[in-house]
Amino acid sequence: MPKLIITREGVSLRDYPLDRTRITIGRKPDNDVFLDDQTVSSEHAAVSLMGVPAITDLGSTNGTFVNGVRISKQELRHGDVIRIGQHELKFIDEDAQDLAATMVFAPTAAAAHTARLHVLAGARAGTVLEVKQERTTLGKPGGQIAVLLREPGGFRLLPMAGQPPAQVNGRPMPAQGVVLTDSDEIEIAGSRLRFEVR
Amino acid sequence: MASIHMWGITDTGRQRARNEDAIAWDEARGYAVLADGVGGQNAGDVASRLVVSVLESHLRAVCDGDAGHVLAEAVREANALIHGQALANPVHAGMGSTVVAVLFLPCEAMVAHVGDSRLYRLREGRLEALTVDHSLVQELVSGGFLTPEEARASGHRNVITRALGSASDVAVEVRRFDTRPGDRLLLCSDGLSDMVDEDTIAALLSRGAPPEAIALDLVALANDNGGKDNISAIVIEVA
Repeated sequence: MPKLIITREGVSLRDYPLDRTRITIGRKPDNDVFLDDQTVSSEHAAVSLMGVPAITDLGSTNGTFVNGVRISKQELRHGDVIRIGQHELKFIDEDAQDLAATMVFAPTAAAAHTARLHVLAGARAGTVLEVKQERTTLGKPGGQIAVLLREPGGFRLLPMAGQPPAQVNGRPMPAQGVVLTDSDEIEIAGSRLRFEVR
Repeated sequence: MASIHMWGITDTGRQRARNEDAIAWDEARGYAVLADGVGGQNAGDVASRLVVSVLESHLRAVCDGDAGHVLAEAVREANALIHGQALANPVHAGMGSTVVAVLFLPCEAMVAHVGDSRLYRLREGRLEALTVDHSLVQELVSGGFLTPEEARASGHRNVITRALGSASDVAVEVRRFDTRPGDRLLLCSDGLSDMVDEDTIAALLSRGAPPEAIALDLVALANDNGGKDNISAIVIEVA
């Protein structure tokens, strides 16, 4: 079932399951999604789930934005971020996020940062690998494989093969991978590595 | 130039609201183009149509010369235009497209591609891919990390590593290939190659049917198998 993840100023407030064909969003408490925010109109917007999911602005004062663009009506896709006043509502539709949707992972000029992988245990313990490529493959054929992707904002480790998948900080990685932060520990194919960003 | 007969079809599939693929072909001038757009809102449609229109304008004007150069230049120009539009218009930010294009000249045939749209050649019952996907799983297969079977089953087979529109320039892969009477070629988007396995594609192309019928059957089969993405196919018969 699709849902909205509601946040305010980066703080996650709640998830709202989209279990009806239409839900309303606004400052009045009788809305399905009630946002206690003076910059939100009393009846601000409605999400329709008939056919293709879409959001409609109900003539609000301060507007409804999808991915930063002010809209009156807009189809919603998995991952779209709706901004209403000081609130952000992320539209999550895992079922529609089918794997047929092409994603581009191509180098951009903005992503020229580097990182290091410090091998703590395993075959090459003690070595330090400089991560300079857009994509770095870790693991062993026939076992756990993961690719370290250099994204504009940082690095993402994506599990590509192996069951269970490689772990980050002791937890198996989810399918969409993990955005790494400094000192994260990766366990893959019998090695343990520390991710370091300078 | 060998006598060629082409036919193409593009279909929204069963699960998408829009068709972000675009195709064009011209038998007399001997070219075929297929693009698979990427990007939210309608950006994918815009990108793939732009690719097809830029390539057509270049390929219509070809009378002689280096086919590979012509193709690569056309693709690079399409890339620059998409990249420029994506930067200029926030609604189109992140838009991109794959492309596969073939051009037949009197003595040679060339293919150019970027991304995971493919060209196959069927010869004497054997199907051969003439393009190698620019995709994450293909890189791992080429590097010996994944088997082709693991790649086909991977949840990340949709991630492409090269697309038109991502940067101001793009590396276009161009190669020459030979054709013989009796060969059949297929240009397709991943909505076909993900939904129909290569043995089935080979069997359909091997039938004596005209390209129109084969293209229709391929798309119908991809839909029967789920039609998860937009589906495009251009079938070329070399006589």
